[in-house]
Amino acid sequence: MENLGIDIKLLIAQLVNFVLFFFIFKKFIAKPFSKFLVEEKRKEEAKEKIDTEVKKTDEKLKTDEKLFKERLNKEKEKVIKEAREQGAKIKTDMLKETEEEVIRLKTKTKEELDKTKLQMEKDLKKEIVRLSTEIVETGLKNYLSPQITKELTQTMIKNSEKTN
Amino acid sequence: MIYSAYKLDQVEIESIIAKFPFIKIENIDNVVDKTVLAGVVIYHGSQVIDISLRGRVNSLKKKLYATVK
Repeated sequence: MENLGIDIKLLIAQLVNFVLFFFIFKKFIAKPFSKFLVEEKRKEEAKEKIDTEVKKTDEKLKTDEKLFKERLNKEKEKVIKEAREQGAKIKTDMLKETEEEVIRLKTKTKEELDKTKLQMEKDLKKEIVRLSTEIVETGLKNYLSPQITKELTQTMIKNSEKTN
Repeated sequence: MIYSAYKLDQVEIESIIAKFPFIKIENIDNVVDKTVLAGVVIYHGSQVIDISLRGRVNSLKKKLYATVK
């Protein structure tokens, strides 16, 4: 061995040294490092899991948002449709009410006109009677000379019925 | 009281008394009223005997007004 240039003592020392180094390395460096790596891996997995969950949640949120928007749109359309229908109904009702009011007013006006017409006709007839009798009276006054008046008076007395 | 358009003469008053004997000649007071037009209106107590032209015209007027109502 010595001829080969190998020093047994040195070899043993190196072996001891190596074993010591191995134990020290394993105990104080490799183990914590391995533990650190495991921990990191675990953290990474947890992170990935969280990311996946976040992604899933995000997708779910997007789906929910889409659904919500669709529902909102449907609701909006429904509300608009209802509003339009209600508006149309109000319009129809108002038109109907207006038509009824117009008919009522027309009837009332016609009645008032008829009443006024009737009253005017009456007034006119009264006025005609008044004027006619006035004309007759004036005509008679102009026509009746003293002679005619006397003759007429005598005739009227003569033709009057006898009363006891 | 007798209303007439002119002063009645005795003949006319007598013809009135002949028609209406309840009128006494001493109670007759002839009043001239031109609005009578012709004929006479006799007031005897509360009784009124209208045989005047004005009365006829008024009667006609009432009839015409009655048709208007």
